Amino acid sequence: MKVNGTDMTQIGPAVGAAFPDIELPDAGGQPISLHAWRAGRRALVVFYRSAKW
Amino acid sequence: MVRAGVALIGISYDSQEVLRDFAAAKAIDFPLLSDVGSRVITELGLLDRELEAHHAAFGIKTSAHQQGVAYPAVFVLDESGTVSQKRIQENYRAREGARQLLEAVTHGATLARSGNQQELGAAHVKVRAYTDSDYYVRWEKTRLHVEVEIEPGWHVYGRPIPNGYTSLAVEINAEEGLVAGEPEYPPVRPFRVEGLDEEFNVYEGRLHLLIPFAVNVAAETGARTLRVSISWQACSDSECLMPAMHLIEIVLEEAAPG
Repeated sequence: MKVNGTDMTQIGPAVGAAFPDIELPDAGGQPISLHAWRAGRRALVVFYRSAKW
Repeated sequence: MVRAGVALIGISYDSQEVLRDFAAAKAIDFPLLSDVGSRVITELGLLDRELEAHHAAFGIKTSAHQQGVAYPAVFVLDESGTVSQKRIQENYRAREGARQLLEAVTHGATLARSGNQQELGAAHVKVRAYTDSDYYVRWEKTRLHVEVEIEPGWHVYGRPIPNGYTSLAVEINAEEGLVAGEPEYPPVRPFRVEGLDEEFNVYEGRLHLLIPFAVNVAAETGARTLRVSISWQACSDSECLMPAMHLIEIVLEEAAPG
């Protein structure tokens, strides 16, 4: 499925691939490492445009 | 997320302060990560470069705050951290807003109403109207929510309806640059009135209606007012009131500079 020439299936980590271990601060400033925080659970990682608009 | 065994995490380019306000306003109980500067978003290949290209095709300048955003996307990870499913919006024009995406994964459980909610109290019927967000993004589909609460012992007519009766109807008044889709009505319940041959369909209790719309204009136009017409006819077992017709106005701001 191409949108304006971009193949959307190629965007971001692929199905079947290990999701990278990312580390970012949460809203309170605490650093969160995704996989450590996940602690073996299944997870939904949701990217959304903005909490403001 | 209260669901057993599944962890939920949200990521955007917002600052911690913006996320704190959002989490408090929407009673969000899962982590929201702050990717200021979009470093991780870019590393993962999720930087939305299309927003700019799409706008350029229409002669629209992309605002500074719209740069650096991620494509709305959901990754489902299994126990080992492998991506088992992936969902990315295909059609740019139909791109989901943040709220719709969060709703899809939380099933609406953590979302509260936005600030521009309007309430209307009429005889035996209360109406609450609000939009997905206080803000609109040009060319992006979003939704009007209309909650109708009907007093017990009363009902309102739905379609199909015999001639001469007023069924529940919600409509966003047409205006230049405002494109509205078909409202989504809940299913009706058939209703027979003693002594009348006609078949009626009614609604009772609490209803939630959805109307998709978008503000499609080429240039920045600032705040827009949605004018929503809502009509119904309320009846009890023994009487019917005159049809009601109300106009609700909801103000949306254009997406604010970051």
